[in-house]
Amino acid sequence: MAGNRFNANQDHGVGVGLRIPHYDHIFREKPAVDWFEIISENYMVDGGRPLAMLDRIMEQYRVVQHGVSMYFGSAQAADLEHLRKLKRLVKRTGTPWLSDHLCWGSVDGTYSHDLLPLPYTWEAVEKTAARIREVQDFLEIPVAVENVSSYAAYTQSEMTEWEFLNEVVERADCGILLDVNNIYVSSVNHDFDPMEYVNAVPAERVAQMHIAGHSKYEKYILDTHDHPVIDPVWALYARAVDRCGPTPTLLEWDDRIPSFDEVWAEARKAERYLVAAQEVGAR
Amino acid sequence: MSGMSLETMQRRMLAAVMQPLTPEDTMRERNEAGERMADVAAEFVAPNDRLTAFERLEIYNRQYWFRLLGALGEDFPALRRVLGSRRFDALAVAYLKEHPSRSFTLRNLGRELVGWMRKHPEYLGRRKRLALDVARVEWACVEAFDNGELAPLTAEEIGDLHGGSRLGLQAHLQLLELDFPADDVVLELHQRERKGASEGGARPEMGEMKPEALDVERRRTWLAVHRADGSLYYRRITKEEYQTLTALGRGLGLGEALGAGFRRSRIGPAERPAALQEWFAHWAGLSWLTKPEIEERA
Amino acid sequence: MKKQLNALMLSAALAGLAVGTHVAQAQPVTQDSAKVTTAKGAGVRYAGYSMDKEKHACKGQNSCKGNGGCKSGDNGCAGKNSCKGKGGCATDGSKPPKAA
Repeated sequence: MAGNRFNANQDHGVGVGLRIPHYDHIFREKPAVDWFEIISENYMVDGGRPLAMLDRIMEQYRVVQHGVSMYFGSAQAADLEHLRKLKRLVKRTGTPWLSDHLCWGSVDGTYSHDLLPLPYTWEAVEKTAARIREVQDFLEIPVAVENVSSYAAYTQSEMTEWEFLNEVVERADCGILLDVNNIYVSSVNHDFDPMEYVNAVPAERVAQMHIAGHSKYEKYILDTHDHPVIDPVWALYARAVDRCGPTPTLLEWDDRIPSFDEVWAEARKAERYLVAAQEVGAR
Repeated sequence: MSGMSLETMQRRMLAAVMQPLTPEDTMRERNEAGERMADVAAEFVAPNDRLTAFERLEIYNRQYWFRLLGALGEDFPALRRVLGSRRFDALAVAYLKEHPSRSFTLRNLGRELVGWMRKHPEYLGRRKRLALDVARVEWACVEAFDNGELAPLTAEEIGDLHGGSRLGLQAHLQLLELDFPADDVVLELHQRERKGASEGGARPEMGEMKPEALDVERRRTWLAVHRADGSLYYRRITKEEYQTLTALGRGLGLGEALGAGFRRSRIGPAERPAALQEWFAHWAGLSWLTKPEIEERA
Repeated sequence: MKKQLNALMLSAALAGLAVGTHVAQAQPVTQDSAKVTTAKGAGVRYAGYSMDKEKHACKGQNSCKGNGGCKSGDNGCAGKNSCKGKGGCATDGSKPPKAA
């Protein structure tokens, strides 16, 4: 699988998120998973079982780090201690690239532990891009930013979400972790055409893709990662792969986690799209 | 929101998101300053044809509390059972209001809880001291689980020791002096918790729960919570062991620490050398003794 | 006399340290190793509860304190009241959640 400079030209295919309930199965059965994505924060500890398990996984699999608390869009300076710990983990895992979310979540050192959406303003573009550059320089590996699911829009926004994403990644010169489920969730919550979003993404910057399931409520959709991927999301994924070419793809399943086999079977549905894209590329 | 800087908006929004929910788990109509939350939300959140600005902000307000209460409940499942879910939730909300997360990781969310509980006995129900002891044991487990592992003393380093030498304690070793045998209580309650956990993902059942009936008598207990091969262990220790280890941890020289260890001890002078030999052998066997941190830094 | 006792105590402690360190080095740490077994004999008990937790995920949260979501009929999850105290509310407006 051809890579690009935002995923260190790696050839990662389909992976799944590494989750504790699956440890035993993975160690016992050694399933032929191409790679695992780990949530960085779960392993940014000083010792003990989390790191021991991670080391065991790394004996047999490639891992890629995905963070949830970098908050590129928080208006204040980055937490240096956080960055130092993250870099220590980066050195341990040898992750070829690292991703986190295009969102904010902390103010004055207080953390929400949520992925709060940014207002799509020029001020946010400038500040967020500057922070991404700072993090990328510090970590010395490619960084990809992920579009988040959102449930609120801001009165101050001056552009669409995809315009905002494009402006940020251009200024930061970083990659994109394109989450097609998040695009779908936000398109329902904010009444836009998700295909227009996918078509607007700079394909050459897409380092990785996420697929996942969500929960539907009467008035909005929530990105709960507790269901299989629905057909409209597969359609977005197909279009994204069509535009970007074969791209490292990961299934997220974080709640009501089923057996490993079920999760892996769901993830592998992505393979046919990747193979098709590869064949097109080979012609 | 026009004219509001990104930083001001984020400060305003986070304050709204962190505001405690109503007893029905909805966003409050007014914030603590008396402002209508509908007006606050409308300052920066746009409505759509299905949800008002208030309702959209409320989604994040609820997520914040569900996530943080869930995380705290996972770290203190036995405390939740001792207090019952209603009292635990009230305690957790009051605690988090005073001590919101100051760390990028939820792992540290409960770090100030024991200290906060000491200052707020009104949240601890009738079994205040037991609740405090249980919380201390549970937090010790969090620390012991993923704290670092320092290299134990080598035979060569031991050969160089003298009465004035300082020793360090293993980073994951947690020492507790308790009013109750709270390790028994926590073990029992964790077992009940495990039985109630869903099969799917080791997620504890967080539904409503009455305080557990517990038959536990007050008895001074000294406990070490530590880790071996990635698993947590409790080891009951004597008062003298506790006093010696904590003295070493405070940075006292070896000779002084041995003296401090036998303060108000019933162990007669003649028996002390044998006891010490046995304790130090156990501690070294468990890698509890290390080089002191100060010397390592130097 | 006191000095003598102190010297004896120090010697005993150092002797214990040497013995324990030797035992620890001779027996590598494993879950069922002699090291832990020895310690168990000295009153060590397995804490007996998995501390494995994954607190960090990028999923949204709308469970009513873990009870599994709200019924869509209650004004989406903005309606909420029905959540509290009930296990397993519908999560997608039609089907009950899969048994966990």
